[in-house]
This record gives sequence, C-alpha cells and structure tokens, in this order.
Amino acid sequence: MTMTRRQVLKSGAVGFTAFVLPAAVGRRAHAAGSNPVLVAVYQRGAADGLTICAPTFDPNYYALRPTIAVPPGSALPLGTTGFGLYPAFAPLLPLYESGALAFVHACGSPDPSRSHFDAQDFMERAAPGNKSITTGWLNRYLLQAGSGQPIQGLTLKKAKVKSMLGPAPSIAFSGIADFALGGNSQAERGAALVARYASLTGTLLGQAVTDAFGAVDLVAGVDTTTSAVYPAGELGPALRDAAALIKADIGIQVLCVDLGGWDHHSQQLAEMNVVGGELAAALAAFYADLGACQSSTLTLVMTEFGRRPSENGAAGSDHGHGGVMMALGGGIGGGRVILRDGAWPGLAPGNLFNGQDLQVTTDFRDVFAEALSVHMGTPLASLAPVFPGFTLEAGNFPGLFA
Amino acid sequence: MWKRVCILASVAFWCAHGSAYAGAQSADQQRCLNDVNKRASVVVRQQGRANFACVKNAQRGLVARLGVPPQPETAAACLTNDVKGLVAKRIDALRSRDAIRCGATRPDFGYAGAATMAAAAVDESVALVTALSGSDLDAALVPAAEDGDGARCQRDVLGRAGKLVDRLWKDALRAKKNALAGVARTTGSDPTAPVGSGAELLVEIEAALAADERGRIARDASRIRDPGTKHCVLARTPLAQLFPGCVAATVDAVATCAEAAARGAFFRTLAAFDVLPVSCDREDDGVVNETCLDPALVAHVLDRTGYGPDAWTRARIAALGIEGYILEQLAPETIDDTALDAMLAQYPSLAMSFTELRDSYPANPPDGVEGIGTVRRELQEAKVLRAVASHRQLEQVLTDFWFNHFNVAASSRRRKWDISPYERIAIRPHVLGRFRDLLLAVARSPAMGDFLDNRQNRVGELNENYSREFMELHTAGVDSGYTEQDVVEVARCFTGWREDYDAPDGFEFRADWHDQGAKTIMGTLQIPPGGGEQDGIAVIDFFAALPQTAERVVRKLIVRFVAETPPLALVDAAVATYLASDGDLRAVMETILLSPEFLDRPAYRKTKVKRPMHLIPSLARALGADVTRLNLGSMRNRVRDLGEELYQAAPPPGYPDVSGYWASPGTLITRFNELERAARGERGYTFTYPATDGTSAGVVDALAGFLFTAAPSAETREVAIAFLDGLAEPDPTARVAQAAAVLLSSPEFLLH
Repeated sequence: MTMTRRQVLKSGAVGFTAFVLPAAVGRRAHAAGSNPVLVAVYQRGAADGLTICAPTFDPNYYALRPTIAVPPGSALPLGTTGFGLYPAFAPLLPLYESGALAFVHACGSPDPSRSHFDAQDFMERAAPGNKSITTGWLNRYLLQAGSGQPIQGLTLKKAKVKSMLGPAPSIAFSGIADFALGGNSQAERGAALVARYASLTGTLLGQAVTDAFGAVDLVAGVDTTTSAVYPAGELGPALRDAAALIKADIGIQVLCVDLGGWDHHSQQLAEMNVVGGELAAALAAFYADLGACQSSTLTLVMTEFGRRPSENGAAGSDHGHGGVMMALGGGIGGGRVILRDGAWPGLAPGNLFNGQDLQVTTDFRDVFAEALSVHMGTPLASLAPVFPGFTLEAGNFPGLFA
Repeated sequence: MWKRVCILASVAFWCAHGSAYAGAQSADQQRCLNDVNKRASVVVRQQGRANFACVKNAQRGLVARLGVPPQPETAAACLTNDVKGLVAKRIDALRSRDAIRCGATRPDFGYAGAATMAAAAVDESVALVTALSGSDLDAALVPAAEDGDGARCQRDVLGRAGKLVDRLWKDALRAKKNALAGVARTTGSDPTAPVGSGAELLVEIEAALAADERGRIARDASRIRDPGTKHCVLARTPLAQLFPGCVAATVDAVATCAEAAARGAFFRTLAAFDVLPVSCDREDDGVVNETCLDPALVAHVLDRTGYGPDAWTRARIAALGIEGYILEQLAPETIDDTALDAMLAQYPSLAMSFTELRDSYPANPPDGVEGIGTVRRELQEAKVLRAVASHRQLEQVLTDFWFNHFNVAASSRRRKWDISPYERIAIRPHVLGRFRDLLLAVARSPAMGDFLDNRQNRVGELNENYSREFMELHTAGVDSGYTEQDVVEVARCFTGWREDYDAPDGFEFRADWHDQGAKTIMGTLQIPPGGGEQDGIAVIDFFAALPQTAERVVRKLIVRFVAETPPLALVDAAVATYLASDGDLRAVMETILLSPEFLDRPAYRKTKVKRPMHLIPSLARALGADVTRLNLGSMRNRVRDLGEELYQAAPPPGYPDVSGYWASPGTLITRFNELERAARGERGYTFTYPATDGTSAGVVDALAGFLFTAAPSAETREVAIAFLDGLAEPDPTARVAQAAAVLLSSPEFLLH
C-alpha cells in the first residue's frame, strides 16, 4: 500500500460516512415476540461491487473501464455520497433512502486468493488463508449462542452451505412445499424411519435423517400465504419461504440462501441486468414481506471478492479483490455507503492492491461480528471462537447500527 | 443376538457402521476378551486331541474307548462323546473365566460369551475331521491291522492339521491382544491406536496372520506335507479313499485340502468367538481366493464400480469372480453393449456433429420442430439409461466422474448444443486412457472454451478464467505452488485456442490471436517465442506430468471409489502407478480397484451417501424394472429434484463428491418420498414383487432377498417387520409396497 490515509482522504472530494462506534454493543431491543434472525445471502461467483455501487465520482473508474463503467447519467445517485446504484438495482433505492439498506464498500477478505472456491471457503469459514479450519462461521456461532435445535440454522437450498457446516445441528431444504413425508402410510412409515435411524445418530446419515424428521414437524404448520410479489428464479422463491418461516417464529436464528451467476468475465452489464435485477427485486419483496419482523431480521449480502477495476477484452472483468457487502434491516442505520474512516481507497494506479485491484479496507469479519454482537445480541467475549485468530474490537466495526 | 445374525448373514454393514464403531476398549474389557479367548482356544486344542484319540482308537478297533455306554461306540459319536471328560473340563474353565472377567465388564465389540464360544470350538473342530473324512467317518477310517501306513497317514494329516489350527490361534491371540492395546499395529494410520471396532480388529488379525512374522504358520502348514507324507506314500489304500472329504489323488493335494480345512475351521471359529465380519470367502478355506463370493463384497464392488447390482452384473461377477469382473470392466471395449446401443438409437442427437446439431435443433424453432433444448434433454435421458442398462458400468461411472472433474454447464446457447459432443468426443473416449489426452481433448473442446471463456482469450486481451481453473481444478490444485503470474503465463499460452464447428472435434488454433512471446511457467517450464499452438500443448504435457496433478487426480478417484478420507498407502500406490505409467488412467484404476483397501476393508463399505444420479438408477436396478418401459424423462427429473441437475452444475468444480453434501435433511425427505412412489410402481417402474406368505416376517424376508444383494441388518429387518405389524392397511399388495418403501429407505439402500 503506497498511499497514506491522508492522501486517500484528500483524493476523495465527497464526504462518506465514517465508521462510528455503535451506540450500544450488546443485546438490542426487538419487538415483542420477535427473536433476532440473521439472513446471509451469498452472491456466488464474485459480484462486481464497482458496478453495483459505482464510484461515479472517480475519474480512474472511467479510465479503467472504457466500455463497461456505469455512466454517470444512468447511475441512480445514492444520496450525496457520490456513488451511484446500477439501474438494475432500482428496487433497492427506496430501501436505501428509508434507511433500511447500507453498502459497505472496499470490503472483503485480507487474503489475496482469486480462486472462487478458496475465497468462498475462507469467507464462509471466517478464516482467511487458513485451510485447517473447516467449520462454517455460522455453525461456530450456533455452537456459542444457538438453541441447539436443528432448526436454529437453516439453509434454503438442497444442501447446506459451507457457512453452516460443522458440529452444531442445522438443516437444509429447498422449499417448504417439498419438506414433508408424502405417499401412503405416512405416520407409520415416518415412525419406522425415525426408529431405524435413531440408533445411527453417530453417523452423518443417521443424524441428517433424525434432524430432518424433527424439523418436518415444525415446518408443517407454517403459513405460506403472502401478498408480496417475488421474482421467479433461484432467490425469489427461497426468500419467500424465508419470510414465511421467520414470521412463523419457529426457532430459526440464522438462515442462508444463495444466488449464483456473478462471474461476469464477459458481457458484464447485460449479465448484471439479469442477476442484479433478480437480487434487487427479491430483496425488496422480502423486506416488505417481513412486516413486523423487519427490525428483528438483518440480511447481509456478500460475495467472495470483488472484480478487477480494469475491464478485460470481452466487456467483462476478471477476478479482483475488494468488493461490496450490503446490509438490509429495519434496525440498521442505513442510507449510507460505509467506508473505513470515510475514505475511498481510490482506483489510481498507486492506490490499487497489488497494482491492479480495489483495496480491502473493511475486513468482512468486522461486518459479520457486528451483526452477531449488535443484532443477534451475543456478547463480544463469546464470539472469539467464531473468528479464530481475529481480534474483535467494537471500534473496528463498520457501524451498521450507528 | 443381533450380532450373531449379522455375522451369519455376512452383512458387513451393521458390523462396521451401526453401533459398531465403539472406540478403544478399557483395560478390563481387554482383559476379558484376551482371557476368555485364550480359554476358548484351549477348548479347541482339547477337542483336537480328543478327535485324534477317537480316530486312533477306531483304527485299532478299540471300540470300548469310543464311548461310555449308553453313548454310541462309533468313531463319529466319539468326537462329541468326550470320553475322558477333558473337553467339558476346559469348557468349565472357560465359563468360570468368563464370569470372573466379563461378568461386570462387557466389551463393546468382539465378545460372544462362553456358551457361543464353547459350541463353536467343538463344532468347528469336529468339522475339521469331517472335512477330511467326508460325512461317514467310521467308513473312511482304515483299520491299522489292514493298512498300517494308511492308518498312520490319516492320523498324521489330521493331527498336523490340528496343530496348524493351534498355531493360528496362538498367533491370532497375540495379534488381538496387541490390536486391542494399540501396540505395534500394522494396519490403520496409527500403529499405536487401539482398534475401535470388530472390523478393524479383524483386519489387524488377518494382516498379522498373513505376515506370519516368525514363519511358524508356514512351518506348521508345511509339516502337513512333510514328514507326514512318508506313510501316505507307502499307504496301500488309495488316497481318495483315505480322505473321502478331499477330492485328492496326490499327497500334495491331500495336504492342500487339509491345510484349507484347518484354515477355514480356524476362521469360522474366530468369527464366532470374536463376532467378527469374516467373509465367507475366508471362512471356506482360510484364503481370500474367491472360492466363495461374499454377498457384502459383491454388493460393494457393484455399488462402487457401477450403479448398483442388477441381474446381469450379479451373474457376471458370479461367473468371473471379483477380480475377473473388475478386469473386464476395465476393458469396456470387450463387453458387448449392443442392446444398450439399440435403445440409445431413440436419441438421434447423441451422434450428431456440431453443425448437424445446429441445423437439426434451432435455437428458435418453428412450430412442430424440436429446438435446442432437445439436445440436452436427450443427453440427460441417455445418461440415466446408460447407468441403468449398460453392461459397461465402470465406463459410465468414470464418464460421470471425469465430466464432473471437467465440469461444463449446458446453460448458454452454445453449450446447449456443444454439451453432447463434449461428452462424446472429449470425455468418454479418454476415461480409461491417458490423463494427458483427456486434458488436451477438453482444452480443444468448444464447450469448455465457452464455459471458462477461453474463446475470448487473445493476445493483449487476456481472459484468465480457463487458465486459473486449468491449474486449480483440472490439474495440480490450488496449493501446488503456482502464482498469479503463472495464471497470466498459462493464459498467454492458450490464447487463440478457439472453436471451429466444421472441424471434427470443433477446434481451431487462431495464430493471429496467439501471444507469440516467450513464457515461463512455475519457474521451470520455459516456452520459447513463436511456439504457436505448441505452447498450450507444452503446458498440458507439463501439468499432466506433475506429481501434484497425479496426487490430486488419484485422491479424487479414491474419494469416489474407496473412501472419502483416502488411505495414504493407497494414495501412494496409485500415485506411483500414475507416474510410472505416464498417467495411464486404466492402470491407475486397476491399482485402486484391486487394492486391499477397496476389496478387503469392510470398514470402507456403505460409507458413502449415494448421489442422486446413483440413487435413481440403482433403484431401477434393484427393482429389476423393465428397462424398455422406464420413464427416463421422469428419472432425469427426479435426479434434478434431489439436487443433481444433469449437465447443469453451474460452478466449475461440478458437484461435490462428499457424503456431507448429499446427506441434506431436505433432500433426504425428498428421497424417501421418491422411494415410496417407486415402491408403489409409480414413476414408470414396471416390475413384479416376489410372492410372499403374507406374514410380516415373510414379506420382509422375501423383499430383502428381492431388493438387496447382501442381507440387510437385523435392525432394518426388525424395523420393517414392526412397521408391517402396526400397519392397518389390509390390502396385501399395498402392504408389500409399503414394506418395500421402508426397506428402500433404509441405510442399506441410501448408502453405498
């Protein structure tokens, strides 16, 4: 890093919201009867933060991306920050303006890996560069602060995401509608299978079957009617079920969903119209649908790394470093583009990480940790095992709740 | 009781994976096991002496010594008359030792109790005599007065066979004691870790006996031949009459027969004493030589090298033996598959060239014309059909494995056309060829070129996507030592590698797009300027030959075929094969599939959760469903519903090959639902259940024989019987279908 912080500050003409120490670190008050829930939305494939939340004030951005930059005229201004929202994300603008949505920019992992798979693993295990840690961060969180019931952690996919893997019980199913024993003699057959697998709970399969039948009973009574309109695709239906399950208050503490399709090595803007539009419409519907649970639910939208500021030869971008994380919730102090110390690291050659990528100035673990300590109300002291080898200090948090 | 049932049924599953992994046993538990086993081996020895005395007295005509009236005074009866009461005395000692040592501390595994041990000790010792004499001992014995040498020959062979049994027990007890204590183990990853299950204990004992470190087993075995043969050579009675139980005309053949009888008797006794999952192949003559096909091993081989047992593969493995079957599968070109080919003819797109596909299946078809989506659909259905019906089972599994390794998702317009020739041209022909050729064929394929953007990769406008995954996923792996600069250098080598749909394999090298500069890769591979197309080939040769690539490829294969935590010895052996054979995948597969880890370790069986693309074809095969009436479209959709949409895995690494991924609660419920529908004959499965007597046990046993190759565990059987007992459904046909649904939902069927 060749540039000093003062230089960076000077380079940014616009005022960004600096990190602020949260007013209260500890259990936040939630509406009566609603328990805090953390939703993690993973953008698989490395979403391009420079398109989603474009630094339209930065001439270097336009120099590096002669054909795929978001033109200043079409970007939707995010207040007075100087950043612009890519138009495909328009459904999110009202949420931003109402203070329910924040962007954390130049955010990511300190590890320089540009491998999707390593970087996703590092993030989902909250252990950058450390391959000896194989349990997921949300699993370790549930070990610390979970109810111990499998429903505490839910992946709304056919298989658990890596964030959720580990010794703490959790479940995964792709949709409420599929998650019930069908066919004939359901009760007798269910009892027989429960009995058969009960003696195998020390095995992977036995545990999974036992957890499944326990959760089937809980999910059976959930009311899935909603007036919210979700987009079709991977994310919309998952978030529709997520909202129904959260509102039913059946004991879910953390919930994971995925949206793939962000690896835009070619035709980036056209691709972004499709996948970005899906993400924005789904998140907007989800937030509206949550109703009384808007404040007790915090949604983090994350990706493994950002993309290279300079475009490639196919109107796309290759793997980069710093990116954007989004936070959505009625309890946050949104309507901000959050940067460490309020400073945009810049895209001038001397400001780039390894000479080519956006720096990471906010470690993703500080965002995760703030979500767990402030939103989920878990004392900082008991979060140490969730973030091995990482020093947790409230003063380093991005200040989502400030 | 269930433990006994498990052994009798030759089912390794429950033994290895039920409550069986109990962990190390305490000092008291070890003392119990060691002590009672020693006492039980004394019963064996005493019975052997009694047998010898019976034979000798019968040969000498001393009838009064064969029994104490009212016991019958025949040689056969003598074996169990225990005339001197010494066997009973030893059994009493065994019982009292059992009460003292084991009364308060029951071992977690390896313990049968004094009564079972005593019965087995006597029965198997008597069986050793019968193995030599045939069923009529009195008729077989030669009177000493008529043929002194013949009589002596009979005694010598029997006596020395008994000595071999005693020797095996001595060495087995030492191995067992060490294994329980975790001393000088020779199998497993840690020589000082106490064994934690019966299966592990058995492996340790078998290894110690096979190693025969002091050579005493070999010595005692050889003594059956020499000098015992002296009298046999001089005998006037033909050998075939001296030993009617052996079909043997030479002294050597008699000795071989006696040694096999002794070793078999030992292993049967061991299985009973220690409740160990000894295979039937070991139990018949003490040697793993395919004289008996262990049903659990047959099921294991067919469920790992293919899509589960069916009638054809079961008959084939019975005809060829385990090794013969595997070797034939490794040479698929020698296996007739014309019946499958005829069925595949219903899918014309499978054989079309790139341009034919584009002409025949347009992206925007007019009404009544099949469109681009047909190509992928036909490939998906053909994959299911091949899995169910191909006799070249291993080739199908390997094609799936290598497609997944070089995953391409048929999600773009180009790839919807190109996916079918990709599998046909780049993958399938090379799955038992050289890895380097596979790598090259994939690099030249339009499908990969589009999926990982190499078709966009040109001089001055590099696209690193393929380069990175080539090193990270296809060859050496992310920790193999390449740098970000290597990603750039490899990308430069592959500039200009592009599609030309008129070429047979769809490849064209565009020299005008190629970066003609010099490149350096991983500090060692120097590529001079002006190499053109050779740059990429040099990169392929370099990475295919790297030990890191060998290890990565081999580990992945072992994870698929043997164990999800690859045993290091097997990794080393298979890597050595890879490096010595220049990456010959057939040789590598032979090393893996004929390894003791694959064939002889019950602990590795039934440890993998079937992938959806395994579960659904194995279901059709287990049911014996009529392949000509399968609803392949439905089966393709079921595989998709369970999370493995074929040719649609979006991430470049494809679908994970680990059980943790597939044992997801949500899809398990979906699995149970699918299995129940199939059991009721829905989803297009056409089959006939076997006739039953209508009782709960009768239905379950008949279905178990119909659905499974190896008998299911006692637990599964009991749960299914209790289920039927409690089921109000009166219709016998519906009861059979529901019982089948429960059996198919058991761990025996969900695991492989």
